[in-house]
Amino acid sequence: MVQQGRPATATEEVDDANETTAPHVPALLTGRVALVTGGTRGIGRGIAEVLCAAGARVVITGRDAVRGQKVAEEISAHGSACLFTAADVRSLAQMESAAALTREQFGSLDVLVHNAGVYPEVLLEQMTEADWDLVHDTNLKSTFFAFRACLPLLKQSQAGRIVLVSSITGPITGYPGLAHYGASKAGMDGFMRTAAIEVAPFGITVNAVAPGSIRTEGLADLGAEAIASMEALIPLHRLGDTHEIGSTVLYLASNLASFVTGQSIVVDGGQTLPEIPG
Amino acid sequence: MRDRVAFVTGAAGGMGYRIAADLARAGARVFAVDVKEPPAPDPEGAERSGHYWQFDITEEDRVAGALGEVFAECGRLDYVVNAAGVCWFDRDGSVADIDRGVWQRVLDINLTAAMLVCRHAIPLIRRTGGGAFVHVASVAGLRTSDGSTDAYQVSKAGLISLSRGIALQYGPAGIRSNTICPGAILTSMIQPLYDADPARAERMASRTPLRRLGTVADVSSACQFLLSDEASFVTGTDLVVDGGWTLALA
Repeated sequence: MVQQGRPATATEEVDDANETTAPHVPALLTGRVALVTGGTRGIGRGIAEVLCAAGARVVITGRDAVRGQKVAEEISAHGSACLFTAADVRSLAQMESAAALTREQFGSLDVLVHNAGVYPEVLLEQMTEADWDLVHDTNLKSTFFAFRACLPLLKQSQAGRIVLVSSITGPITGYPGLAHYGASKAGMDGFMRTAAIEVAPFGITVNAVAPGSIRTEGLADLGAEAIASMEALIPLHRLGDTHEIGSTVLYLASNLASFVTGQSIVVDGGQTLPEIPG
Repeated sequence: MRDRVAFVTGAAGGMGYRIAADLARAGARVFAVDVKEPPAPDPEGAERSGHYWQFDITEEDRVAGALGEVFAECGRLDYVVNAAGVCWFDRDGSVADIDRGVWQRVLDINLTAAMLVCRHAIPLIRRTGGGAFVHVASVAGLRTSDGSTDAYQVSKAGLISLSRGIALQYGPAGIRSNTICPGAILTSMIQPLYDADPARAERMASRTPLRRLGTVADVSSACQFLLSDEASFVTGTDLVVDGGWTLALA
């Protein structure tokens, strides 16, 4: 089966194979502070690496403290300071603690990147209420929690920015086994549009990035043949890199995008363009 | 963007001028064209890194000739920005009564000329080994015009579609294509509307969630992002730069 439109946000079970390279990006975030949820692996880690390379000090959250500490040290070695704090995005109290730690350690918060998410595949006929709730609590309810926890600090920033990591799956395409995931990602986009209007008076922008097929740690397990068939469906004939999601987040987080709000930027190499994909 | 070569249309207009100047400032060699006189030199002299041609880009042989000269001189073409465009508030109107000649001329300038530029640029970008297009469209091309300027609106919708086709067809050649869809931006093109109705600018700003009109710098920085390697996996998209204008119904 062809892995069309397979989402690629941070997964729960992945290999530990990612090696840190310093992305070459302009220093657009010097002096800024960012919080990246789900920042210890996959796309979230790629975003954190780019933001650090662009001069921001970054706090990453995750649930695995041992892994988180190690990743934060690796990222710090190639950019600005990066700290890890353990937090479950399904808990408002833990999100508030993460925001408080960010302020204690770095003095402010300018950029929230809400990236944490899960995508366990289960067909609708077999889907339980618990399956649905896990995905919606982790992906969508958490968006509201992260937003609420960070808003007081973002209001104090001169350039408050919120960037949500959405997906093409849900907002644009469907994928068997991911009805709950797709609904949660479309829900994030809906949240974004009203949140953007509500916080605009504070000069805060709220935008999203919608990744297509991105090369993350877990992907290698699919095998070279599956990856080649994924690449064939993408006009640019390759998978995206996590740093390419990071550099789009960087644009939205920077002063360059101060007049952009309520938008979702699709980063999919053109995968969703064809009338009949594949 | 050092050593990259860019071709910018509409380079005497508010957005095109700023885009050309910012690309030059970022280190690119910029070749510019507009039917209008070249604007006064940038104080930093940034835009003087390439030629400025004054001709009508609906003339295909002139377009082909200029692009050929760029490639002959630099041996490469990396970026093309279609920023030329008109909105004739006084003559454009509803399909019910728009003058046929006005309709055709707007489509020629805003859409067909962009197609001609792309047609002659694509082979050169392929020979360079890849590159990127940015087309300055409009939120009017995604939604509708604020008021009836149907030829303008249709031309911008066409430009958005043109961009997607290029993205799909030439992605395998390493060519990306995206649009910018500006909302209410302060430019010379729209200035007559504000001159005629001074309260209009304030009214538009108050209807925009971010409570200001956009600037040519907002559009130019979006263009810089979409052309740059930071957007290397972004193609076939439409980047709305409108301060939230199209989000709210009220």
